[in-house]
Amino acid sequence: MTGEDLGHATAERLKAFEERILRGEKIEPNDWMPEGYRKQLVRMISQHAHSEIVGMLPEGTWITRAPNLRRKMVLLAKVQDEAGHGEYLYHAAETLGVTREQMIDDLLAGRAKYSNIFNYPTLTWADIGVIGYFVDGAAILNQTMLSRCSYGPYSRANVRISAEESFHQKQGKEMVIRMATGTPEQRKLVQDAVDRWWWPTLMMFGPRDEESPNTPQLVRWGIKTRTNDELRQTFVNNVVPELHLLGLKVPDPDLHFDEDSGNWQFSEIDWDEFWRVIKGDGPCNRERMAARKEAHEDGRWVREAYAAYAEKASAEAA
Amino acid sequence: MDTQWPRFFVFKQDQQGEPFLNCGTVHAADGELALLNARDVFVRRPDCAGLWVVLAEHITSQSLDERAKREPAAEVGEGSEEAFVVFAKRDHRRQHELVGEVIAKSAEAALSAAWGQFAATGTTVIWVVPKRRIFASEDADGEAWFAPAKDKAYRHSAFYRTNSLMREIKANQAEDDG
Repeated sequence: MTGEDLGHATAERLKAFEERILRGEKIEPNDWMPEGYRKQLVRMISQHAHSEIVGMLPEGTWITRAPNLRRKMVLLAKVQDEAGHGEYLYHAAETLGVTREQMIDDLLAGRAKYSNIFNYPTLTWADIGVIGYFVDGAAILNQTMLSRCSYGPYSRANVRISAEESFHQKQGKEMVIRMATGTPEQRKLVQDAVDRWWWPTLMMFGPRDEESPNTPQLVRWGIKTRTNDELRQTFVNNVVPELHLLGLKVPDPDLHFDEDSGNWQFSEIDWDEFWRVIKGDGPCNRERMAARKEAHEDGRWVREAYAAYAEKASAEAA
Repeated sequence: MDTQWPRFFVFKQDQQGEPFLNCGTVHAADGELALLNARDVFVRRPDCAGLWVVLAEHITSQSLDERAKREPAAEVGEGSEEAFVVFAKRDHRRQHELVGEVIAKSAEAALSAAWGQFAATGTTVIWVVPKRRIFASEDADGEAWFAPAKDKAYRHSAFYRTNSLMREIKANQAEDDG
């Protein structure tokens, strides 16, 4: 075939691929896909997986300090779920040809990203409630959208995650309700947590639409169906009336309801802070990476011992 | 770069009598540990009656497109016959599910027999696995492995009364205002 024929063949395949997506079909690992589709998915899915794994750190630190057994079991179950979600997602990325070893190496070498939100510290027990309510609430909006994603394995991983994560959001919301209707000391703690987590949560949805050059292509290929700004606005509209009902203040003096659009209008996000944290200079970036590396190194002898045992057992069986 | 161990495909049966469904993969040093990892990753909540794991390299896959381009000569096979377990992807939305078994002399021959016997309309990919390569949970494991999840009601969102708590607060405030 000449180069021109090859180009023509690719254009035909691309057309057939985009028609499948328009029909709502799922793309599966065996199917032809444009290289750009594969690359975008590997980037998104591995970042999502790393976020679940690093996300265990800020909450894990409170397991031993939970105020009672019930709260401790709930937090343990939630953190365990996050490890499981990381596994579902690494699996989905592996179906696209990237290896687990490569992804872990990228994370530990600082080449991979994970959600900015986990680079903020959990200072009090109230943070555990607010993280469930805000951070998991925001994640559910994103993951519900991604459960309709055109790539089969990623879509199925998100269906499973969303179902389990509704427990994460509700246990956090329950804590916030209890504290907001509790003692003056509890109200003070939960208001302080809301003040610290509000803006980092809004940043979780990513840059503004005009700063997200990938979005139109991701929407065209059915990877995303809603933009960052749309999801962010939905989150604000869901949460603000509930916070008001609970007597909690949103740390945004210009927040107001806009009758025309039906939206709660919020102030501009501090994008300098957003980019600073992404580039590695957030309050806990170094601490999180150091904890991951330490866990990886501490586990090395276990991985090696199991591998050596399996090798010996299979040599004896042969 | 160090090892993350080999990759095993995981098949889960939600209830007795239902087919085993592919639910993902885990990494483990051997089959026994792969079963334990699969239990931790995929059975944190109830609805599991059995688990199978298979090393990725023991699965032979053929899609409808690959089938069209196959070499029929390769499908005869040499050596002794053995049982292969067959998984089919029935349509583009579903995961691979267990559909049955065939006896064949090679994976290629097993695929050929499987397409003949099990390919219903809409089947897009078939996998075959030598039966002796499957690591399966035992019925006796059920009590220790799968039953504990049933008692952990707090893993379900319905356990948390957030909606009724919010309604109560709203009603109380309306009363105060009135």
